[in-house]
Amino acid sequence: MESSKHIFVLVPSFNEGRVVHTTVTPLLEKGYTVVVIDDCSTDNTFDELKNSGVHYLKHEVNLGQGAALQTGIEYALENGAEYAVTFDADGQHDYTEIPALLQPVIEGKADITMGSRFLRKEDIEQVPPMRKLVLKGAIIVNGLLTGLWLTDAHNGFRAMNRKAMQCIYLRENRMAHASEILSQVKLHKLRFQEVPVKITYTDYSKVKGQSSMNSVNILIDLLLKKIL
Amino acid sequence: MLNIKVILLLPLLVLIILYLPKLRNRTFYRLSLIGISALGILFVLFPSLTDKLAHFVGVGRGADLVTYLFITFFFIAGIAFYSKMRKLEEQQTELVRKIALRDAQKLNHP
Repeated sequence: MESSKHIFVLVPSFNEGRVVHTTVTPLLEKGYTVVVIDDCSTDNTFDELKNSGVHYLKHEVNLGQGAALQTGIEYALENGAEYAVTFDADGQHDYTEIPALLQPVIEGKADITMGSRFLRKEDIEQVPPMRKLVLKGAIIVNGLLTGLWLTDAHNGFRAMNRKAMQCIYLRENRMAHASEILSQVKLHKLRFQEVPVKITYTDYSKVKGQSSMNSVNILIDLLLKKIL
Repeated sequence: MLNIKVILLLPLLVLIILYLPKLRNRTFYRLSLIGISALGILFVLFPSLTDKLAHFVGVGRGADLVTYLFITFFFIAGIAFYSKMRKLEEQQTELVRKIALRDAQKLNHP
């Protein structure tokens, strides 16, 4: 196993002050280099992290999750990361699954892995019905637009090596970046794998997470990008 | 009685007077502004011209032709503004990212 400090866990965070400390603490305990990209939060995010030991980057203007990830990737590249893991701040990902997600990348079998909540029966059962429907739709849209057919869409839990970090450049600042990553994986012929992960739907993450209606906005963003 | 022609001409003239000096070094926009305003003034002064033009391109009335042209320009302008906005957004992103990377800090344990 590589030294954990060369593994950068990127945590884009927008107004997650209530949970961000709980999210990053176990990551720091595992010895990962934790990078919080604060996307211009208006809450107490900074105070919560003040004594935590994370690397803290702040967007002076709210740009969106895609932009925050891109900032995190560039920071990781500049600071000698061997691997980067993207991790949601709202606590819906399970840090104990990071090694499994990283394994194919570390073993050199993939440049990027993506978590999927649709590979194990017990994970699928966790997904609320409405969310399942939206995600299935998103999987089809992603497949049609990018030619990559995955089992999950808009799962923020991913791991990548330096090659993937260098190839991926996110221009979609907001949520359409999830599909954009796929197009770039395809464009640069990156080797990818899906790894089963658990998504914890707490009441908090359900409220904070995207509303199903927002998927319509994402779709429009993607179509506009195809046309213009 | 205030003639409709005066009401329509005034904003066109104001437009030219206000914006023509501002668009220095932007020949394309300047020429467009002059061209479109001139056409507008011409149509206001001689409305029958629009009818002739309309017949020429196979549209029933001059007023209809003006409406169609307006809608077309409106959409072109919309697209132009959209791509301009995207570009500004990209520049803003770059700037904000540079600042974030420059000011990155490691928050230490107490």
